[in-house]
Amino acid sequence: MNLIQIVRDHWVHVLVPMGFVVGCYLDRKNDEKLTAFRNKSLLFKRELRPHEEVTWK
Amino acid sequence: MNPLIFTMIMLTVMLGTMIVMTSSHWLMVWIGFEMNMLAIIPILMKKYNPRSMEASTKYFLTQATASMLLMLAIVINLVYSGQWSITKPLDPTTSIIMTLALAMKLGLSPFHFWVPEVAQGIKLSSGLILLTWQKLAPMSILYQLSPTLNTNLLLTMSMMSIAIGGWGGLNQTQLRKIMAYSSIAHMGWMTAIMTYNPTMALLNLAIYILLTTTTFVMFMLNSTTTTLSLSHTWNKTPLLTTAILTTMLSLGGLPPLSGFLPKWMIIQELTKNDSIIMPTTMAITALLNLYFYMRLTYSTSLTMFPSTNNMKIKWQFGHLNPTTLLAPLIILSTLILPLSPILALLE
Amino acid sequence: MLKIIIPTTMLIPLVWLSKNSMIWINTTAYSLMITLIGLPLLNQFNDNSLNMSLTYFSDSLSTPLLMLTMWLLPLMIIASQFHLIKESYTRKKLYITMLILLQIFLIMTFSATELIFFYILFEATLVPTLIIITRWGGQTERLNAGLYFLFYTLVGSLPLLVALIYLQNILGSLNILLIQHWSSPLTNSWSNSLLWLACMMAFMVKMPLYGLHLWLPKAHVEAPIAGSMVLAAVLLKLGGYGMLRITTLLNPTTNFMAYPFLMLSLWGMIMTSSICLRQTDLKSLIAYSSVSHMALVIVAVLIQTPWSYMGATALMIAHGLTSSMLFCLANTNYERIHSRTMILARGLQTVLPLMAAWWLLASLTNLALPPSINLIGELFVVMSTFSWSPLSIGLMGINIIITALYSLYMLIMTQRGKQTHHISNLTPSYTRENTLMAMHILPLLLLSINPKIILGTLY
Repeated sequence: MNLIQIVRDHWVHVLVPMGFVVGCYLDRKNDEKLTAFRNKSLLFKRELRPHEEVTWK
Repeated sequence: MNPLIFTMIMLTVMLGTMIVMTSSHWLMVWIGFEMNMLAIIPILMKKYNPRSMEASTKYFLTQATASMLLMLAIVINLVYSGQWSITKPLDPTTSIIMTLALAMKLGLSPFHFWVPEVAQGIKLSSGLILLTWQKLAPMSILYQLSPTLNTNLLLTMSMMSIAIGGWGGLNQTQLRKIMAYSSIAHMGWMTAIMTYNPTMALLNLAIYILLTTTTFVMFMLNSTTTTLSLSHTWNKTPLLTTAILTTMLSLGGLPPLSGFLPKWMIIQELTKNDSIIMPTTMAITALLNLYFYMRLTYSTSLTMFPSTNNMKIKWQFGHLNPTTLLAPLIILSTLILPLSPILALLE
Repeated sequence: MLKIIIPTTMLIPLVWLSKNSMIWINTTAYSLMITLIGLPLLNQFNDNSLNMSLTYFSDSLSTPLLMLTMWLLPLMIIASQFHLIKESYTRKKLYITMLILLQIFLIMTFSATELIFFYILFEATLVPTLIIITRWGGQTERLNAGLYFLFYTLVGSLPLLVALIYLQNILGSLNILLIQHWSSPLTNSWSNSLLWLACMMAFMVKMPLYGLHLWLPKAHVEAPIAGSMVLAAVLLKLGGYGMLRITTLLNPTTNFMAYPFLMLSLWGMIMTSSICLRQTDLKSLIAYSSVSHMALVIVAVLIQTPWSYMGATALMIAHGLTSSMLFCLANTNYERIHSRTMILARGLQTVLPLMAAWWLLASLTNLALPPSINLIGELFVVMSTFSWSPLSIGLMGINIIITALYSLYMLIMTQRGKQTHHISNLTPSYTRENTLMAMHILPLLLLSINPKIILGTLY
């Protein structure tokens, strides 16, 4: 009962951290999208490790 | 008005516009215009009083003149080319007369005097139809004729409309007149782009209709027709003051609201066609419009207007007129600028 | 960048869903936390930029301004608490929402990659600012001030829109990172001079240049405290930032087009600081001092040397914090005395001694005394101006002296002298106000330990 009360009082504190997590997630995803072709570039090309997938598909 | 008769009349209005839009025969276009014009008269006179009678007479006279001019152009075209087909390019004389006729129907600048007068004399709901639906038919003909239109004539009229739509509204306190002047200015923006990229004119028309509908629906909610009664909005519907603020700024074309989208696109198209001074002048002249929208927002939402004590309890008895779709209209008329990348599909 | 923008956006539901007693503390705490998220951006480990995505980026020029913006939101929220004490909770929430909205727009403006996106957001900041000024300002003149603010900026910036679209047509892109390398030198023609004017005028109005500055004192005087703070601290810097960005495209037209504007700002900073000397209105004095400081930034940007660019960036940050602090101090007086007239608030040192210490510090940073970053900025600007033209040292020197004079005039008028009878029963300063001042002055002093992070692009 007490716990529910606390949750009801303070649930708003979730909002901003949640925004941060979502933002971080979207940023990461975008980074991956932007660097997807790095193995194709002459500058950053390297040998793929065994069983390593190519980053572009 | 008897609902059955009202439905009949509305259907005729719509049918007239549809005929204009779809027919390929000049006579049918003319008939469509006439049907539309004759059927709208009873709607303008829905509230039967001398003022609305005057308004509808004025509307009838101008539209009849415009129709006659249109007929003249059609006949000249017939004499020159021997055909009634709308798809055939017009020769320069015909195109000028046709443009003048359509400009009269739209209320473009040298022929704009009827717009505020008619709009002021009629009910808000009729005003909504007058300033939105009635623009569709002439615009569709302009759109179809756009390759053969006389650019200089159109641009002159559009610049004049933008300027007069701005200047005229500055001194008004009557909302319907303000909206009429706003319509004149927007028509100016549409015709300015008509010969360069008619699709942008359609985009502007769509957004203009959206914004005007939203504004009129918000005015209709409280039956507001003057700035003074608009300033009492906070007594009855406080939330609406915010919506009026954003819609007005959007109508003025302030980024990031959706009203900026057509202005941006039109400026872009004109600049692409190596016209630099004109879009700059147009954009700066459009600030005159923004000025009177700003005045409306000042009296509505940004200040608490002085009012008598009786006014403050108005919300208790307040009977709000039913409105349809106000919330989505408000959202659409303010927040669609981020959707602008979709416009790439038009190209 | 989304990891900053999305939490900032989430502040809006936070305001509306928080309990009424918690709105101030919640928003302050979370906006401070968002500032912490932004701090790693200051670590610009190479001379390139941090490309967050195709839409947002930050480099060493935009990051200090970005941090200033983020730092200012909690300060604005702290500062406005007393101003809104009589308002209903809905209106308080609306007010904070406007501040947050402005913050979101500003963050996006400073980190936008496309110039047209930058333009749209540059204009978008007008709307919340206008609402803050005209809805919550003090007197009826605020309506006029709002109109001045809006229309000055719009008339200045609509040619910029046309110019940007024109540039896009000839360059093919408006990506800030790309066009620096793509743009070819402009030819010497009338139309290119007009292009230069169209590109620069928007920012000159925003800065503001002397002669185009009339909206600024009005807006500052009429705005509520948060409005004044954000206007002085961030919105004016939009002008400087835009100029720094767009001058890379306008070579070599700037070399000869700059002269009238250089003259005007050198002359204008003396004029505006002289106007300060005879002000009776505290807020108006601070506003004019902003104009005079921004004239230094305009001069620095127009000279176009590496040192002057660094000086301009440093001066923008320094002035942002200093003027914001001065407005806060003026507001603490205003909240007690209910007048902006300096003569009514004299002798406050004996009544509010700690406040007097903040006043002293703020005045000293305003006249650019050593341990502050204002000095770094002004030193860079003055030196680069001197090497541009030795004659300018006369005007610069006079300006610096007048700046010192009016800073001390302001300090003495408010703090020293005999106290008047009506101020004997003032409320003592709140911890909130002292915190506010400390949060302004600490970055000013601490940044002078490592000024590298606010010098912008290091050449």
